Amino acid sequence: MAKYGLLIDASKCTGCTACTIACQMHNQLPPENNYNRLEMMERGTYPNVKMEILPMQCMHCDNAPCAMVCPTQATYKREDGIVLIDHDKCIGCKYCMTACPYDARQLNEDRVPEKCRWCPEMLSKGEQPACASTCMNEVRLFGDLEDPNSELNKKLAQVDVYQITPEKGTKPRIFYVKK
Amino acid sequence: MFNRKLWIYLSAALIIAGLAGAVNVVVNGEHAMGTNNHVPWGALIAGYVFFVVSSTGLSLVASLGHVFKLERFEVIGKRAVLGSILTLVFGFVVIGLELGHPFNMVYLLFSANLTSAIFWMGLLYGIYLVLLIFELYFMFKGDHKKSTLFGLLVFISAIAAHSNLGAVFGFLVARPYWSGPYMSIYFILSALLSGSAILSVMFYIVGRNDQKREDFIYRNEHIVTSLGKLLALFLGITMFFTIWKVLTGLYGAAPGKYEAIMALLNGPLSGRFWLFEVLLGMVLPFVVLMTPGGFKLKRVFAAGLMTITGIFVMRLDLVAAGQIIPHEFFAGASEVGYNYSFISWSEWAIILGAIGGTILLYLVGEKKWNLDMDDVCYKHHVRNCCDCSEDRVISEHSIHHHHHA
Repeated sequence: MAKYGLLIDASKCTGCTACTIACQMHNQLPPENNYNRLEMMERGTYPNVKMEILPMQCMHCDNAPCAMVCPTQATYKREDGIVLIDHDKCIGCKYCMTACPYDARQLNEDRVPEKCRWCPEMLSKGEQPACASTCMNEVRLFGDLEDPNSELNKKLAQVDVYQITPEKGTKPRIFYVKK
Repeated sequence: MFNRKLWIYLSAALIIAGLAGAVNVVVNGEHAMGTNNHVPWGALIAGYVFFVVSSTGLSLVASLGHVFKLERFEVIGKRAVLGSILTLVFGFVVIGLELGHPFNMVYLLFSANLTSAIFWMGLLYGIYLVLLIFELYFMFKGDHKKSTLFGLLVFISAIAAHSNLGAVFGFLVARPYWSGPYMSIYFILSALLSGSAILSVMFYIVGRNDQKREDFIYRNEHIVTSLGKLLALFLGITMFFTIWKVLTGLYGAAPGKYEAIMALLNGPLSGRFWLFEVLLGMVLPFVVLMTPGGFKLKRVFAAGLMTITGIFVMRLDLVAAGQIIPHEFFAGASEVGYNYSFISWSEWAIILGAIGGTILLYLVGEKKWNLDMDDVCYKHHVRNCCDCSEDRVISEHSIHHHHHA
């Protein structure tokens, strides 16, 4: 059984949002829904300024608070680590939305809090999901954390990484390259 | 004079407004609500909390009389328990409308998640409702042994269900303003505050036509006066809790918590906080009660009304403050914005409609049933019998039979 993970090198991101659009196309989302996004922050004062960009999406946490709080197990974690939601079981209480420290959830038109799925239909074939394959600078690299020879593990051995708000105890599966 | 017709018209108007709001929410879903992806819980969650806090409060205060045998409070029994059932039911109505897919709640049975506080909330409040109904039933039958037993079970389930409701918020590590054990403890306290405020108002209105009615008076003190004293006590404790919540939030500027407290003190929630929560909900009623002559019936009534209004805004603020601060993803970000949300007309209408429904059904209860104290207890009142042991239950029965004979 694979154990999926994602490495994001935000320093390579140009902010073109092709990943957001590719995801919307692949998942047939309406314009107001997007499962991945770019968080931006300006630093400095003119003329010494910089735009910091952070690609964000569901972290598929090992200690996923959304799955923990879901009253009906509508949100669940698969053995390979992917966190999914079963629409038929969702009561629409939005507890997962308040529990997620990454704002990964988006309410869809059916009042189900949807989110990034890490496209298991691509990963299981060894392909990169749309957000990764569309990116001109290869900001994202999906892979198997359990396979010592996976591209992901090779890359992880070369760079220093950090995670977003690990103090929330979520144990996220997205690693960011330190700048 | 108590004008029954006026109350019926008023509650009917509220119910009609509520139905309009409910239809809008059912048809248009989240578009009819002031919530969004950053503030997923809105006024309906606050309204639900307001109702179930009221329910818990009513049964906790009622338990003083018929569980813990403080004779002074025996008189509130049936009215409090009936009010407790009605507020709980309308709390369920409000959250039922808030849920996107309320019928999927069957999966609470088939696919329960034991680590979810909302699962436990459904289970515990369900048990609590059933126990309340049994308690009221045995109260009507005059079966003191069984009604006391169910009173005790109601007391235990109320504490369990309501502190668990606090944990629904307290378990969320992602929301520093809510996270921790405070919410569970605070919810029990604020239930006692709600309960004594609502009962003060209720018994003032019920006893308004005859302020000398004997069954409301115990050792020369009117029940509303006694409830006013409880209210003053719980107001004092609530102020103490609020002060320490604020001070610990400010001290050391813990990320997320500090900003949320500042949103209340000096941010988008500050008007509501100072005017309604602090002034109307705590300080004014406390002053009204604690100045000389404060426990006169009219003043207790006024203090109760102010407190209930304040508590309602406390619930809105509690839900809003936990979500108003955006999650922080960048290290060293200097500017803090706020997550925006509002209360839509449909949300107001649903909450008001639920209040109308509670009042209307309560009036039906007053008309159909005798909600006064049983004669036996009443006789004990007059004779100031202080013996609360088992024999008393037996002797009560003998008096009861004798009385009817």
